[in-house]
Amino acid sequence: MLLSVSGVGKSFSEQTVLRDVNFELDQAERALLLGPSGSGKSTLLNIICGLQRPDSGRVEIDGEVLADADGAGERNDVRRRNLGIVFQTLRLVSALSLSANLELAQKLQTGSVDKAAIQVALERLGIAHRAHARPHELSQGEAQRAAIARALVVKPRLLVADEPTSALDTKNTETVAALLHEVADSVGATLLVATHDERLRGSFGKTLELRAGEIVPC
Amino acid sequence: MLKLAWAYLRDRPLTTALNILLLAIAVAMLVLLLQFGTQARDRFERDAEGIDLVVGAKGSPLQLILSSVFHVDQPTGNVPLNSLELLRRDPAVARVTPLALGDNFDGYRIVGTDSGFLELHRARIAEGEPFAEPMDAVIGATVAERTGARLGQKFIGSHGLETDAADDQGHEHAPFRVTGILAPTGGVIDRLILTPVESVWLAHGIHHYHDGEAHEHGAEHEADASHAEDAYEHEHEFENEAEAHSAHHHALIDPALLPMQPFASGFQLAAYDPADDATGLFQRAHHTEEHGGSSSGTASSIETAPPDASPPAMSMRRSGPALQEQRGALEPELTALLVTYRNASGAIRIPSMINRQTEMQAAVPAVETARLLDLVGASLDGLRIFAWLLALTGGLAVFVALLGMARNREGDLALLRVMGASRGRVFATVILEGLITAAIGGVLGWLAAHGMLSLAQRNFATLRDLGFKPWQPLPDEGLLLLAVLAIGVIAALLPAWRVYRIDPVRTLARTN
Repeated sequence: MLLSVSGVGKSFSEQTVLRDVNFELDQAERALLLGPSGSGKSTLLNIICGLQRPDSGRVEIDGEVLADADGAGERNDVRRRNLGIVFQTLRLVSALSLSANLELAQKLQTGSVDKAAIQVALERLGIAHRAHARPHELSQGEAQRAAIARALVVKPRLLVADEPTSALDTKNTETVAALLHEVADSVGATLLVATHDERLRGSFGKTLELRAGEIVPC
Repeated sequence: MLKLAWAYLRDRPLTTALNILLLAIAVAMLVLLLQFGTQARDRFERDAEGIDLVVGAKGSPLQLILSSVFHVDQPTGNVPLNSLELLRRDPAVARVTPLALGDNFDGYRIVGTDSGFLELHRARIAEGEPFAEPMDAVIGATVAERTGARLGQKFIGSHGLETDAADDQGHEHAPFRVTGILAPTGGVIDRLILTPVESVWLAHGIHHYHDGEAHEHGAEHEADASHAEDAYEHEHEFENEAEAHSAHHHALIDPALLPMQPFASGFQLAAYDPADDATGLFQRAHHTEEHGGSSSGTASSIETAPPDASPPAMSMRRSGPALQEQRGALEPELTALLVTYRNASGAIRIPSMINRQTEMQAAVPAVETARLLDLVGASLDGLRIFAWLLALTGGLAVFVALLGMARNREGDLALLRVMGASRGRVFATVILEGLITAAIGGVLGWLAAHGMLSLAQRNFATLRDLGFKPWQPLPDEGLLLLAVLAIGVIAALLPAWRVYRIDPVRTLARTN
């Protein structure tokens, strides 16, 4: 078991967003966290990524606590060593070229830069020719691939994607889903994709449906 | 982080360039002021070291100091030769170094003096020998370097203290011969040509008297230095005669006290009249024509130079036939005397005595230099305040730019946090931006200031004469650069604190 989410709850100003969320994912398992807007997906994902503190429960990666009621966000080291995150919108440092963004991510998360790995990632995602382009020069599709490439180059054990296909058409949605599988395969990562996009249902080995802050049986 | 900070700076080139420019201008101004102030003060102090008092013709004391100690202005006039003897006899005086100015070679001043001048400036002969005979010349290191003069070479001095191609009167009848080249000292002596006082008199055809007989150097030493050698031999005769005559009325003068004994004895004897008492001697300063002694010739033969003129050391300002006619009536004089006290009593008594009882003036280099620096310093202070205000404006511009950046790039910086950058690293990125801007501005300002100094030094003779070293770094420049770096850091502190406090989740959600 790589990821363990147990008893996680979270409220904001009297409003309960998550209630006793529990699930586990094994090494290299693929899971879809499906739910409509406002179901608590992003909050759960933030807690899993160690960016937010749960009010109760805990998140562990390979036995190491990444987030619990005692603290989150401060456990940079666990997050750095284990997580790759693909954001919903283009999240690249605007002042840097695409390749420099990947180098920065590698440097921050692994402590070193592997240019060969970056080149391989860019080629795998079909954007090697855009290596020196600045983020604002990338098309939406290229930007999405760039975000996946950045997650890939840090060789994560857990790859988390937040609404990776929300702005894409069906063809590109399929392409991105395939790429996520391919990337996870290439590094042997566990993949967790949070989305409201029903088109992705069935594309992953496990589907976790979140409704009103609770995991419900599919 | 450095790479990222640099990338952010490059991402807004115009703002960054303007901020750098502001800081660079401020630093350049401050470095220029620092260089001018420090180098001028150091130079003044070094060149005036060991000179407690300067005695010269009445006029501006500052002008006297500038011309006689720093060799950058025109002399105030001349003083009679026998004032040298009088001062040397004073028990409170350790050393009196005579100066006879009036000529230049290629813009470098020819200074008639004695060996005491070399000691005063702690100068060392690098090549050749010290001057021993009239028309021998020892040249400063800069003179040797710039003119390419070598030992044994001859040159002809021109009238005046600066090169003037339009009115360059050469003393062809009395060429100088280079006998020595000085090692560099970093002082004014590097830019001087030193020669016995007698050389200056010879170059201007001044005669001297001995036992009532006039010897006219100008007539005896025409066209070739061999004439100077003749004169030297002739003067050696005087030396022997001086010894022989030690008991007669000239014995009042101790030959050992004279600047160049063989020659000085002759001139001194001619100039000194036993009828003169101390006051009488000093009162002849600047007005030698009024002296009624047999050696002084007619009153019309001497022209008292105005304070702003550049008189040769023998009060001779005529040329051509008139000069030829008057040569026999000219009297050797000196331009100034550099006095070193033996004890403090001299400082109390001698200046007041000279200023009150003679027609000469006594000026204290330390006082005049301080006065000059105070005068200049008041102007420099205003500029300095302006430059610091400019530096603060630069800092403010950096602050505004970074604050704007912190607002615009919160999303980026939150992303860095999510990717694993600590708060400290994000904070450091912003601080680095301020630091890099200030560092580039500081270095460019420093280079610009020294580049301007170098250009000015090439184009302005006064700076060359002051021996300005345009690329000489000063310790205070290091402090100045540190201060500018501190401005950059302080300007970045608030924006950095702002990004330090970023909540990455909220920021990412807000900037979606």
